[in-house]
Amino acid sequence: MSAELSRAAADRADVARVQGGDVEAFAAIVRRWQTPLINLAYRFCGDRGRAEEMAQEAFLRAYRGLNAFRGDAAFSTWLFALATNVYRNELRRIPQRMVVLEEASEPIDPASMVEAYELRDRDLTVRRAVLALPAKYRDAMLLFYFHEMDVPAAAQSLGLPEGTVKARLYRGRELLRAKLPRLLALTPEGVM
Amino acid sequence: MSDMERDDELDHMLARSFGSPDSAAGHGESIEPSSGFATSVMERVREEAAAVAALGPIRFPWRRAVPGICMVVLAVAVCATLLTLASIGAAHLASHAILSATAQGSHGVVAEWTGVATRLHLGWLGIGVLIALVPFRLSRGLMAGQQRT
Repeated sequence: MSAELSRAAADRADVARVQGGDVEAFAAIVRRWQTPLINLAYRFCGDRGRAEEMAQEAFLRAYRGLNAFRGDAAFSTWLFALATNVYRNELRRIPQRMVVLEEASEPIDPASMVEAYELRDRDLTVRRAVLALPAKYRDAMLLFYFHEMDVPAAAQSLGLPEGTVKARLYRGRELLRAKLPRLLALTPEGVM
Repeated sequence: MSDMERDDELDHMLARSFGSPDSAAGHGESIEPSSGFATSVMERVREEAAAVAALGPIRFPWRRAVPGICMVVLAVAVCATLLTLASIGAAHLASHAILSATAQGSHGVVAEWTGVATRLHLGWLGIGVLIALVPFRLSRGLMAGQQRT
């Protein structure tokens, strides 16, 4: 918690310096937030190179829009909302390497998988299935889990009411359950 | 496996795949920025700052604005002239009606005022106002409905 507070204080100081005309102060903001922003972009597109490009664009937009930031919310909230918007628009412009929902199906016989690969394969299958969901459910699920299952944080990043995000999460989970029934029917003990 | 257990398992899988690398639940793949990432972002930021500084403050586009301003002034002048002429005409008709009514009694009052209303096309004016109000009320109703949803 104290690390979070000191990060917020550092953000406030750097934002004030950039707003005062000190361009170099933005470097500290980039260093502080580059890993979370690149990771969030990676969760949207599943491609490391593209994730960096998308994060770079998000930082550039943040720099351009920083004068409009009034500090009503935490800088991190503002930055994540802006980045989410950039990533969603970017994916709308050039969709991620296309995985259609029908292709994101589970393996025919999950029980026969070698134990060492089982967990990784399951995660990959779930990841593909989520990325293949319609954008509104995909975005809600992705941000909910990225923000450690925090609905208000996900709602702020998406600029949507919490109720809408909850409804989209519910519907997204339903779609996943329908798509991956066998995978979700297996307990971790059951397949090991 | 119960529904609740299944939901928990789904939550675990999703948290592993999409959780933040900093989070306790998120043991998913964590991407480290490439070594030149911050430098490359700052290069673009400096370019942006230099471009903004080179442009200087944005001047008011007088060349584009002048025709628009002239049109607005002209429209206001035309409207003011028409309104003035209409009010002079209405006042003239009203005074004429009052004078005639005084001379002809109470029946004459109604007849004269009806005549004035006809000459000023007040009926059409009223219908016009009502027709204009319909889309106005309709659009307000639609906006209010959209805000509720």
